[in-house]
Amino acid sequence: MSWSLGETAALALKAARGSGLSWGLAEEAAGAVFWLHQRGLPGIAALCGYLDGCDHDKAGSGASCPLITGTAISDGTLPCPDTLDDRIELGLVRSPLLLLPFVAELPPGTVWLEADGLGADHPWTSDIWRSGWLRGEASCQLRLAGSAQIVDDPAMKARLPDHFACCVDRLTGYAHRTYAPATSQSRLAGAGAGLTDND
Amino acid sequence: MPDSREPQHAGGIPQAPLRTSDTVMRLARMGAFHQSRLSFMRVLLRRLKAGGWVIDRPVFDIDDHGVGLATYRARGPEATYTLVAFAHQLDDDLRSDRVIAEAWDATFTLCDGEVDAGQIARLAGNVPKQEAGRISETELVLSRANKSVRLFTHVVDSLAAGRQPDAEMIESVGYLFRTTAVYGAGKFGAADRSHWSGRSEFTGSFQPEMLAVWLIRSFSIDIVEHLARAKSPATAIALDRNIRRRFGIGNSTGLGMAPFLINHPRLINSWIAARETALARVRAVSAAGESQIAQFRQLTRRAARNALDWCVADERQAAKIEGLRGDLDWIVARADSLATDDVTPWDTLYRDAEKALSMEGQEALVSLMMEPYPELVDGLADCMHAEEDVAHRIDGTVRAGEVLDTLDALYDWTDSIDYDSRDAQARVWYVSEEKLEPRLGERHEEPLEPYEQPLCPGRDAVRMRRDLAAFDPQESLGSFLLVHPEHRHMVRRLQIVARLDFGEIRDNTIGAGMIPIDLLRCKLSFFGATKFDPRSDRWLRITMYQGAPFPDELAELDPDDLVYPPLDEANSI
Repeated sequence: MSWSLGETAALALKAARGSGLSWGLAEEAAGAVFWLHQRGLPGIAALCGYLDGCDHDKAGSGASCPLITGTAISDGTLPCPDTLDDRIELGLVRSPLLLLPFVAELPPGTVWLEADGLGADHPWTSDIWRSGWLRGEASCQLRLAGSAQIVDDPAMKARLPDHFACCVDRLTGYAHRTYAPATSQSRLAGAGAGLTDND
Repeated sequence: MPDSREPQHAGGIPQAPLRTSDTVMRLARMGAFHQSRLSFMRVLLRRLKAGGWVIDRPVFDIDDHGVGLATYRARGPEATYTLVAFAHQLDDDLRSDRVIAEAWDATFTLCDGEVDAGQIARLAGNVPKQEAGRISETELVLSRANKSVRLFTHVVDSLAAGRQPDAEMIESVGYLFRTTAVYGAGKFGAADRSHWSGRSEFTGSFQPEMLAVWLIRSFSIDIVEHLARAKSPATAIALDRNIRRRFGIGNSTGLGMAPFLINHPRLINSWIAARETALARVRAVSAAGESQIAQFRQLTRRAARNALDWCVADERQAAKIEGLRGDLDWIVARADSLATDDVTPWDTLYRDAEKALSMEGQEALVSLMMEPYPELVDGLADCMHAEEDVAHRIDGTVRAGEVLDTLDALYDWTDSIDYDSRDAQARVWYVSEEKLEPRLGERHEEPLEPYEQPLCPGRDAVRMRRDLAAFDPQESLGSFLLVHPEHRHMVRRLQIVARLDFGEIRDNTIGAGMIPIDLLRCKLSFFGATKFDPRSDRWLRITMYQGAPFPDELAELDPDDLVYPPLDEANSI
C-alpha cells in the first residue's frame, strides 16, 4: 500500500493542527512534508517525531520548533548568511529535517542547513536522516554554499511508500483531535438526510 | 472599481470590462450560476469528440440479478482509461445517499490504461468498500452510485415488456443511478493530480471525474437493458436512442463539497475569471450575425422549455425557478427583436437584463449569450486550472502598515458585518468524527467551536485587522507573525487573493443567513450540472449529462447542442 502525496499533506495539516499548532503553522507543516517527500526525504517521519516530542514533553526541553524557526527564516525575520564565510547559529532545533524546505527555498537557492556533523561532508542518506534528524534535536547552522544542498530530481517522487504506515497511524491519531464528536443534530444535516433514498 | 465602457483587447480579442468581484463573488449570485460552454462536462465531450476517442466495453459479466463486473475502455490519441464497474445486490434498507453509507448498488474506479485480471482482483477487494478500501497510483477516480429505484424498475419492466419507458417519468427523475461521491486527485490512495495534470485530455479541472461519470452513465443504460433481456428474452427491447439520451446521471451532494470554494482561491479564480472573460468578450461583439441570432433564439426557447421541466419541492428554489421562467420569457422576447444592425447587441441585452431580471435570469442569460460564440469562449477552458501543490511562501518583509492597507482594500466588504453580533458568527464549520466530512453547526447551541475549520475569511480578516491596527506599522509582517501566529493562515490567504480578481467570496460564510447550497450550486454549475434540486439548505440533488450523446453517437452528434432539451415541433422556430 502507498499514499498519494496529496493525502499525505492533508494528513500532516490535520495532525499538526490536532497537536495544537495554529492553522497557519499547520499549513507550513503540510507544505514541508510534501516538499520533503517529493524529494524522497522522510518528512512524515520527521513531523511524527516532532509532534510526538511535543506531546510527551509539554514542559519543553528548550529546543525550538522547526516550523516556527523555519517560518522565521522564510519570512525574513531571522538573518541569512550573506557571504561564504557567514554562519548563522539557530541553536537547538527539534526534528531539524523539517527545517530543510524553508532553508533550501531561500534565495539564491544555495543556503545549506548543517547540524551535528551532517552537511557538506556527509551523504544525505535515509539512515543518517533517521538517526540524527527525525526524532531528536540538533544544534543547527545556516551557511551559504556554491551550489544547492538538495538537487531536485526532475522526476519528483509521487508516493509515500508503505514503510511509513506507522507514521500514518500516528498522525491519524493526532488528526483525530480535530474531529468533533457526531451529534444527532449534525447527522440530520448531511447529504441524503431526512428522507428515503429508495425513490 | 471604475467601469470603463471602452472595450479592452486581451490577447487580441476585444473585451468589455469584466464584472467586478463585488458583483460576481456574492453567494446569492454564485448560487444562481448555470452550466455553460465552459462547464467541465462539455469541455470533456468536445475534447473526446475532437480527438476521435473510441469507447468500448471489454467485459460485461453481470448476472440476471444485476450483480457482477463491467469495464468501459476509453481510447484516445495518446492514452487509454478504463472504468471498472462493480454491480452489487443491495437491500432497500441499506440504500442511502448519506456519506455515512457503507454499501451501494454499484461502485466504480477509473483506471489509468488497460486493466488486467490481477488489477481487477485487487480492485474487487477495495472499490466496493469505497472510503474503507484503498486504491493506488494506477487509479484516478473512486465513485459509487445508487439506483433511482422507482425509475429503474419502471424502465426494466417496460423494456422487458417490449415498451419504451414513460417519457414523463424519465423527465421527472432524469437518471437511473445517482452517484453519492466522486473522489479524485489523490483521495484514498488514487494518483495525485500531478500524475496526470500534464496530459492534454485532462487540461482544465475535474476531467478524470467527468470522464468517469460519463462512462457510469453508459453502465446505467447497459444494466437496465441487460436486466430487461434477462427478465423476458423473447420480448425485451433496447432503449430508443432519443429516449435514452434523456437519462443523465444523478448526484447527491452535501456539505463535503462546500468548503472547496473557500479552500482553493487560485482555482476558483481561474474558473470565474474564464467565465467572466467569456462574457466580456461576447459583450464586446460589435454586431451579431444572422446565424448567431438564430442560434440564440432557438436556444432561449429550449432553455425556457428546460425551466418548465425543472420542478423541485424546495420552496426557495421553486420561487427562483418561477422567476427564471418569467425571465426566460423576457429573454425570448428580446431574442426575437435582435437585429444584425444592432450595435454591441449583447452588451445592451446584458445591461437591460441587469435591471429587469432576477439573478437566476441574469446568470442564465450569461450562459446563453456564450453559446453562439465558441470561437470566443471555448479556448478559455484551457485556463481553468491552477497549480496549488506548491505552498505559498509568505513574504514577511513587507511592513505591517502596508499589510493593513491591503487588508482594508480587499476586505472592505466586511465593514458592513458586525462580527461581534451573535448572528454574524452563528455557524461553525467543522469536521465530524463520524465520517470525517465537513459539516456546519450552530456555534451558540453545540460545543463545536474548538473544532472550527478556517472557513470564514471575513471574520478572520476582521480579527487580524484589529491586531494589525495595534501593531507598529513600521515593523515587518514577519515580526507581527512571531507575536500573532494565529493570523498566519489569514496572512497567506491575503497574499494569495491580493493577486487574484475572483479568489475570495465577498460574503459572510458563517452568518445565520448563509445558505450553504449556494456554494454547492456554484461549483456544480462549473461541472455542468442541471436540475438543481435542493433537499434542504445543506444538500441537493443534481443531474449530469442529461441529453448528452452516448459513446456510440459522439462522433455523429454535437454535444454542445444537446445540453438544452429539443423543442416540440409546435414550439420550434
